[in-house]
Amino acid sequence: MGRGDQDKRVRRAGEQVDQALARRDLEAAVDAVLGLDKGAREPLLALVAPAFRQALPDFQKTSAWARLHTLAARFEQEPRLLLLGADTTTAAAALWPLFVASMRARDQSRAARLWKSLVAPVSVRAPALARAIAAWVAGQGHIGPEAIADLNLDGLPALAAPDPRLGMESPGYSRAAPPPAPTSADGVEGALCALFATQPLTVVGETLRLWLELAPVDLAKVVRTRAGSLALRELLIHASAKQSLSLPAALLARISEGVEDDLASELLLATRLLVTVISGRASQRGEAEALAVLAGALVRTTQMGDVAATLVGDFGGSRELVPTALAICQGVLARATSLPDERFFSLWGAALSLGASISEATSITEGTRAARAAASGPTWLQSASREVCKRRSTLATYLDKQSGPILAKLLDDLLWAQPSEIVADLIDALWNDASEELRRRLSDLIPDLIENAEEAGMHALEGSHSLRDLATYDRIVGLAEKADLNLPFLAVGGLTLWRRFGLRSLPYCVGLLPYALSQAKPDQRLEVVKAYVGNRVDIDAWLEAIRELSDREPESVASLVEEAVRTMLDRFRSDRSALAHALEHAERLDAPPGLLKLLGHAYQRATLAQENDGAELGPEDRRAREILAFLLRSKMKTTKKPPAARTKRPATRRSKAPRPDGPDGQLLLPLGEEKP
Amino acid sequence: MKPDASDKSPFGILGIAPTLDLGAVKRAYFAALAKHPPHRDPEGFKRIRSAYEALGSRGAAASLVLRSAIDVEAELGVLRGRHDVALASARLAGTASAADGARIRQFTEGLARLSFEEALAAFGDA
Repeated sequence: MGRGDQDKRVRRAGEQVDQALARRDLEAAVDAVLGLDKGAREPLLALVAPAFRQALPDFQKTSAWARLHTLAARFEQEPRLLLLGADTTTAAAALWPLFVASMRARDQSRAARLWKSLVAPVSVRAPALARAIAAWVAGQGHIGPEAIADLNLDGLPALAAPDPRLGMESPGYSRAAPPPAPTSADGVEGALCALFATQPLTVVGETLRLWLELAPVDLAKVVRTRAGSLALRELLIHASAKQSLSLPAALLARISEGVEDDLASELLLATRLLVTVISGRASQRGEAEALAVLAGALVRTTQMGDVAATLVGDFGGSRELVPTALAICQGVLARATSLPDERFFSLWGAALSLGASISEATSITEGTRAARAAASGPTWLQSASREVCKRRSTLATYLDKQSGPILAKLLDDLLWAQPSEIVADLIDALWNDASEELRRRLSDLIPDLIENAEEAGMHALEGSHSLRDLATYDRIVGLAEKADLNLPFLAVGGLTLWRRFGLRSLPYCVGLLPYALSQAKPDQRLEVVKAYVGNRVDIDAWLEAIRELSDREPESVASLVEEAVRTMLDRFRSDRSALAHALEHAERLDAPPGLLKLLGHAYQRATLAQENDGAELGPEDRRAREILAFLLRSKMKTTKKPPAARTKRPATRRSKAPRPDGPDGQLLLPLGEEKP
Repeated sequence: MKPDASDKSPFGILGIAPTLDLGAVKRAYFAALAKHPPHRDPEGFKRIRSAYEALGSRGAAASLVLRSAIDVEAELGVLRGRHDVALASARLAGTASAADGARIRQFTEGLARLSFEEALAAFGDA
């Protein structure tokens, strides 16, 4: 670079400095000087240095700490900015704001370098202050109380009072900082006591969270266990003072995560306390939420996992507490995905029961079956049900273990509380692993499921704004009017479900027979009945099918019933025991008298044939004979016989026939009519 | 926590604190049975038998445990006995520490508001 260029740059920098100083822009003036080579700065420094020294105390007064910190860096870059032409005292007075700003900016190394220039003048006039500042600098911004013990602080300006409008406390008035995190198990008790004794519960919770995040697993466990007892103490203090329990309860629940068994008794006591409080008065949202969190912690304990399900069940039974039960249910299930299967299923069952009672109430209020179908249940319950689907193999075992009434209630709740597609998915998921008994129970759900889906589908079409949907609706209504009124008519959602489950479920559920018949051609209907009976060797299946068919209007299914009865009697013609059982079963089913009579005749024939073979009568015959006697008596009452017939009855043939009320109790119906 | 004699809950009748430990319930039942054998005290036996039956399943026991009354003061007394001395001394230390903290803050914040001359004047020997 030529000398001419350098002069030009100096001249330009000089102009910039003049302009910057004129507008009191110290930083711009300093930058203009520092843009020059060191050797070329001297003339301009003579202009800038006095302004620099003069501006620093002003910046300190206005707390312009960031500007001061920047200028401290410029000073280290070019010390002459401050020192040129200044005596020691003036230089020290100008250095002081730079030092203070560096300390506040936690720029400890720069502050230590600046302090070196200040030590001498301070030590001469205020040695105690010099010692305190030296300790402050050496402590990297931390200073112990002993370092300022000798100082009289009365001369210092008072700190600004906190302004509540700011929404936060002034740093000068904040309470003591939380104690440091314990580093060993021995230090846990002291640290926790210091924390609980000096900090509000919100700070305790937040501090514990930080401690637990950083602590090794073993130490964290000790911290959680000890802190749990202290949190319970806080909870009881709040309860004793009749204050809200939400904060300490939530703290205890949060602490217990991961060490539920170690804090099981504390959790249980806290839960009982909240149950008492919530049951005793109008539920408060905070406490219900805290109870939900506690229940979520309890459910993971080995010993007390059942409490959460009980809690949901108990609260769900009380109308006022249903919202609380819902909060608990939701909270518990959200945390329950890692639970062992059996406990998860038990909670799911409680949740279904709750969901069902809510859905039932909605359905009753709205008065429609479609409302029931549309009450799809809350999302959290649906996600729990999907989680249940994933555990299908163990779910089948769990359901098989439940007693009959409990299983029936659970499945009924399922139907009420969950949308049809979830129930259908669940049945699908369970089917392969299910026992025969469970398949029967699941199949029993299908008719309701079909009916719900059908009604919901029609409801949706009817309420649709689409012309195409409305046309479909009209077409379906037209078809329904032409269909056989004795058999169900399926067109929308129900038809899909029938196709999905009908054939495999038919042998397990007689209620599906009408649906099967409605979907079959008239000449295939007996085959449908045979499909229902399937591989079952007992006569009950036949009886149930015939009973189901007999409930329909005789015109449409009379011939089918007749055919079915004939097929059944053919198959069991020589099985006296089965016919005796059938007679009893048919009477219990309240079968039509015609069917009872046919069975009675068949039984009578089988008895005679077996007596001729010398076969002994079994115990099942006793009840069958009672029924026969009843049938005979009712026949004698209803049959109008001419008096002559009674008086002139030939005795020869009758004496050979078995007596209706003989010494061996044999009762026989007169043979004759064979049509129902 | 032992129940008091007036406790008419099934747990109280069996003389135990509310618990989900069915083994403990069974032991308490047999202990009570020894005191009220059916041939000598049929009424007492009937009472303890119905209490035992009420606690027969985990679900029933859980429901009763949840609904059982709590003596808050007694429970609190136990925890106070365990923690209060340590908490009191921690609070004392915390108070002193808070005072020290306030003094330190006063020093550092106050110093930052003083000019060099004012600082020397405030802490100078003269």
